[in-house]
Amino acid sequence: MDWLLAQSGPPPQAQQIPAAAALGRILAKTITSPLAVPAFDNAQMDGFAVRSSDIQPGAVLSVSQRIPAGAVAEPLLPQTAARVFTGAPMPAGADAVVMQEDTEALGDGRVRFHQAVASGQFVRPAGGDLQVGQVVLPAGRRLSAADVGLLASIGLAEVSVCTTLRVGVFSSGNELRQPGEPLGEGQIYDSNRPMIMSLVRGMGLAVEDLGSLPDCLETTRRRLSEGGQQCDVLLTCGGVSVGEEDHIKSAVTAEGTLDLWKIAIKPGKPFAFGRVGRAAFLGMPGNPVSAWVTFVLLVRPFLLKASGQADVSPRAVWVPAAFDKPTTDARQEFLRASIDSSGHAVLHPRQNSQILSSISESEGLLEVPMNSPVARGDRLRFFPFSMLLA
Amino acid sequence: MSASIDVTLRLFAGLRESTGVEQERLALPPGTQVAQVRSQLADRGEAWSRGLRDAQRTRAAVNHQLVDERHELRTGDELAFFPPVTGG
Repeated sequence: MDWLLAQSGPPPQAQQIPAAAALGRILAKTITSPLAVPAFDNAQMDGFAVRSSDIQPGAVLSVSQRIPAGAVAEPLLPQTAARVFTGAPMPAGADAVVMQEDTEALGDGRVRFHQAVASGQFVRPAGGDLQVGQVVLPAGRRLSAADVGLLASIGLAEVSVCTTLRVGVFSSGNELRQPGEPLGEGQIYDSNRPMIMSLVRGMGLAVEDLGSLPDCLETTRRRLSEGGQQCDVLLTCGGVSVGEEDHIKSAVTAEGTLDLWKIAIKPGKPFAFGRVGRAAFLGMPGNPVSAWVTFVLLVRPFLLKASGQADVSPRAVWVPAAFDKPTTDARQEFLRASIDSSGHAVLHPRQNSQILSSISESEGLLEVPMNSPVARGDRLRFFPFSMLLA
Repeated sequence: MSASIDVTLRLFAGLRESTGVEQERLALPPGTQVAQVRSQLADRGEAWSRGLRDAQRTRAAVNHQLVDERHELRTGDELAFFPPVTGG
């Protein structure tokens, strides 16, 4: 995994875009605040701005000015109060706000205060949220809606983000038919390509549908080479098994470089990494469940890293098992599972099937370390889909 | 007022999308339990309450361990709320 991430190359190029349109984009540069937020001391409540030393229970002051939000405040005259509204600038000399509920208007331009007030009460101090030069958001962060608001709050109209990765997706095999076409003998529908394209699109990346590759070396070479010119990353499913008569393997080797991995995860074998032209090439298994699992555990972190995102490792929580599993496997297993009402992990009944409903009907992947039996109550790492795809 | 504890809140999936918040620092009174944070956050409004009211649905993990609602938070903890998302 670390090796794979190290192959993602330098961070992508940066581009300036309107900050308001930056949702989901990756920050190319760390943002520091050009101003203090708030920029000036301001009232946190509707009420009266005062010198706290003037206020004892029963004190009566005349109201010398009225300051709505957005107005400019004059310095506070001695022994007076200023009518203020939430967000209004504090007049120079005032150090506290008394909320209007704790006062009584006397009807002659004066106001009576019921109790003493502490200096600083209901005043938002300048720089209380952010100071000039303070780091607001770090480079490599995927911007949320709250982040977009934060950028606006410090007055940024434009922001430098990483260019969006262009990801091309192939499927392969003469046996594949597209949904809507009739199915002949020995043929199956191509489920991997729409699934992988949807996973890529769900990450906010640009996806290119590069179609299904026939079992023909010459065509495969040509289409891979074309894909390598127009995309940053090429993804395929199937056709990278060790020892199998396989055109993708030969074509990638002929057009670039290829490493075949017998990665020790189940499901997930085989997995291939290489380069075609300027594009990285990642080959997932043809079994749809294996393709899905290798995508979320390996391909997705790679794509995030190549997109410039800093935090790419899949997140997990430790959950006690609701089951016994005495049989072990020489590979690290990722079982489809859900969490029951008592907070235990339960397995989906169909673990060996290639059918995608075992994913559709589960809440996440439960990791069982290699060669390890599981006893009820053992804590295992659970990768909830809500975190895996976050 | 006694010193508060500092907890990092992280939200996932629909909860993150509806609130627009991925991560937030919370200052809480010592001894605060997960259920109390859940209820305080739910009071922030509809976007929060919809995802958080039901503890059976949106689960809580503290420092990457699934915990129950009575779990007591300590300073430096990371509290994650994640809804069950079937189907990946």
